Amino acid sequence: MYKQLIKASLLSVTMVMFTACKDEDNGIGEGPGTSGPVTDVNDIEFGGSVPATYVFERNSETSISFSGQTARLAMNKEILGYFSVTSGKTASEVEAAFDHQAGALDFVDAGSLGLNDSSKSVKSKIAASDDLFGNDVVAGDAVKAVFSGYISSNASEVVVNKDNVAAAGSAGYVTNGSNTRYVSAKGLEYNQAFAKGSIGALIADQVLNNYLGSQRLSNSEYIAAHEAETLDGGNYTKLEHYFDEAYGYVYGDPSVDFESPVSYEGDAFLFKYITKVNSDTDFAGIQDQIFKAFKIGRAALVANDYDALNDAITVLQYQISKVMGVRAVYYLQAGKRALAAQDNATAFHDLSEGYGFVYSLQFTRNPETGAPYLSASEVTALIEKLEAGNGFWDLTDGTVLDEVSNTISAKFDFSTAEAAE
Amino acid sequence: MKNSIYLLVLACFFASCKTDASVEDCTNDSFNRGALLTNWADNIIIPSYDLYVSELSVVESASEDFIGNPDTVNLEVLRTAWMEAYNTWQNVSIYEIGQAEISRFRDYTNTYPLEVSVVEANISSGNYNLELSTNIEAQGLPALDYLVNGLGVTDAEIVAKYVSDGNATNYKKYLFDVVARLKSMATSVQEDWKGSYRGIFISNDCSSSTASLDKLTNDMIFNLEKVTRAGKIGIPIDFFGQPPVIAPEKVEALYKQNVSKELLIASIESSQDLFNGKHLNSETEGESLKSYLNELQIEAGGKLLSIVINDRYDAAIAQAETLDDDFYMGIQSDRAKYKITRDRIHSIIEVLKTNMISALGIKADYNDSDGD
Repeated sequence: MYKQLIKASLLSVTMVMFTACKDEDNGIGEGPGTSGPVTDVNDIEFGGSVPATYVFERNSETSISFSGQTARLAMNKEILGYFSVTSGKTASEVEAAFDHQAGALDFVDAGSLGLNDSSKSVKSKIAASDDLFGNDVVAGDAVKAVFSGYISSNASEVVVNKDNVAAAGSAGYVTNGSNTRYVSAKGLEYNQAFAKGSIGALIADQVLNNYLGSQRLSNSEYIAAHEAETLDGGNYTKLEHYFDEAYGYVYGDPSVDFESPVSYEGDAFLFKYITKVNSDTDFAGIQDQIFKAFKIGRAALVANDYDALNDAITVLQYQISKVMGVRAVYYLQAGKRALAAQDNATAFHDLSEGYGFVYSLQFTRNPETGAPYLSASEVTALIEKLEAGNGFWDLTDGTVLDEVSNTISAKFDFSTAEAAE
Repeated sequence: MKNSIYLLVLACFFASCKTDASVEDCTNDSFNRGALLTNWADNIIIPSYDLYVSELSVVESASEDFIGNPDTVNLEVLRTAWMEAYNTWQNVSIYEIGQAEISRFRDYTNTYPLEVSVVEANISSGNYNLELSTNIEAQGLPALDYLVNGLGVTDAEIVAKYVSDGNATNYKKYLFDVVARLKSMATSVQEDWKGSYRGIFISNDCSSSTASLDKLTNDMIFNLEKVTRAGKIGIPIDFFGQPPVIAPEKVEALYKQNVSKELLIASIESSQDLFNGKHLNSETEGESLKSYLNELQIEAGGKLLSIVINDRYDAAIAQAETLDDDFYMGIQSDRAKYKITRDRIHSIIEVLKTNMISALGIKADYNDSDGD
């Protein structure tokens, strides 16, 4: 049964093959020769029934569990609050919350989720997917260090200068009368870099490259256990749980009606931006694409229909990646317009959000290649363009912003203009 | 149709690897694994066993002198000899392969904490068999620690156990038997290496789960993870405890009490030396995991991976240097410092278990859970 699933991961498997048999030219040419992977949820062929809501049960009890994801989303939100110049938190206190250890009193935990007692942490799952980082902890550690850097730089550069007016080359605040933004010497709001960067490094990486990745879902041992309905510490098989953990990173904020997620409520991460992109007429329907793909994928898993499961996963890879690509370009273009209007407070906020989404693109997953739409080094090159010289202060003529936007949109199948407004 | 293509592709993959393995070259690269194994065997492993056995001979003669004439001077000589051997043991501990693996050499030599009640019961009955696994926690270097450091507060009190105690004769006998067992196990592993095992080890130079390089690399990582990281720090500080309940009585060399740091550092350094192929007690380096990675030009984060790995070893050792000589007291006063050291050791393990073994085509032969 699971042979079909193998094709999903054919490319990554192929990569592994080449690593394993380096000296060999084994004659493996292109991947699938016929049509490419399914990217539209309406093209998935699945004969089974799909529930109207994300409700799956075994023996009349729910088989869904993603409390770990809910906890991490809540932790991440609190950590972001700690970036505020008035939070009173030191860099080491924020870092401790980011790298939370069970029992440490790092969180207010307004939702009573048991965050302080939890053994989960945000940092441990940053750039930690099996597929992208399973063989390269050094790369994963470098990404973790970038996020820790946002925390320490926020304290050492921004918080200490909160009462100074920012200028090219000096940190402080920028204001337009209605909004005040606290920025680095390059105009960057570190909280936005952290928030939007974690949509990729935490959420997309865990969803696309870990829980829905080939190491997990193509694992023949797990598939055999799933077909034998061997339960794994709960009312679910390991594969069901992995699938739901992916789902939980998207819809697991406690304020969200996860069975029927329509509005993002208190979510501040991926789901929020799915709905934002959905409200652009150029991308209308993307919210439904993602939710339906999750539902069909989960139903297909229950039905042991690995073809349909695989198709649902490629739809999710394509659509979720696209959300981040669109949002990166959207904010860079919004920043460009605000810079032209000489509204630096608005511009730097938009550009900071864009900066975070650009960073996130290295965690996307192109279903055609099995690799991210932009590699880590391609992303680094774009980030360097945004940070060159005095950073955002130097972007006023818009040429670099267009260049970066066009580089990104060329990797996807939308135009800069479509994403821009 | 589609599916059959995938199957075909997959079949090609397995076929190509298999053919490759059975014909000319049984590894996936041009590196000479035999040269590495020869360096490990001749310049590191066998010299380490030689040194360890010779140090146990010193322990043996010192214990005979002490048994013949129990006084504080002979006690101090025996104690010094024990500590020398304990230091070298940190290196030998890694090579749990061949006869060492079969005889559970590491378990019988250095399982701690010691079960003092079993030791005392054995002594008072005078009736025990140290070859039984039920006595694993009542022998080895930890039992010797107890017998030379733990029987009394002062040296005079310790000596009295061997002179005037009602069980004095049995104490002497237990000391004698613990030393004899330590030495006989070590000697049999040493002799095996110097006999047939060296050749078996070196000629098993392919790439597979049972190949020497794959196995010993796994042993090296396992030792660093379970023996160094968990045994010496993680367990005494109750790393995973929620809330942690520290267990200072679980430190290594509990009765001597001021050598835990020295033993920890020796353990990390031995691992690093094996990685670098550094000859025992010499600055010379031969073929090793380092030279293997360098030959394949493996990089991580823009640096040679071997440099990344050595940086992590160095950082762990530097952090370990900040610890107290005496972990028993130290973890009670500043657990956090120990936790940082533990995390530094963990970061070596992570890079060995991900970047290194995947670059060399070695499969981890033990697993841990992913924490979710």
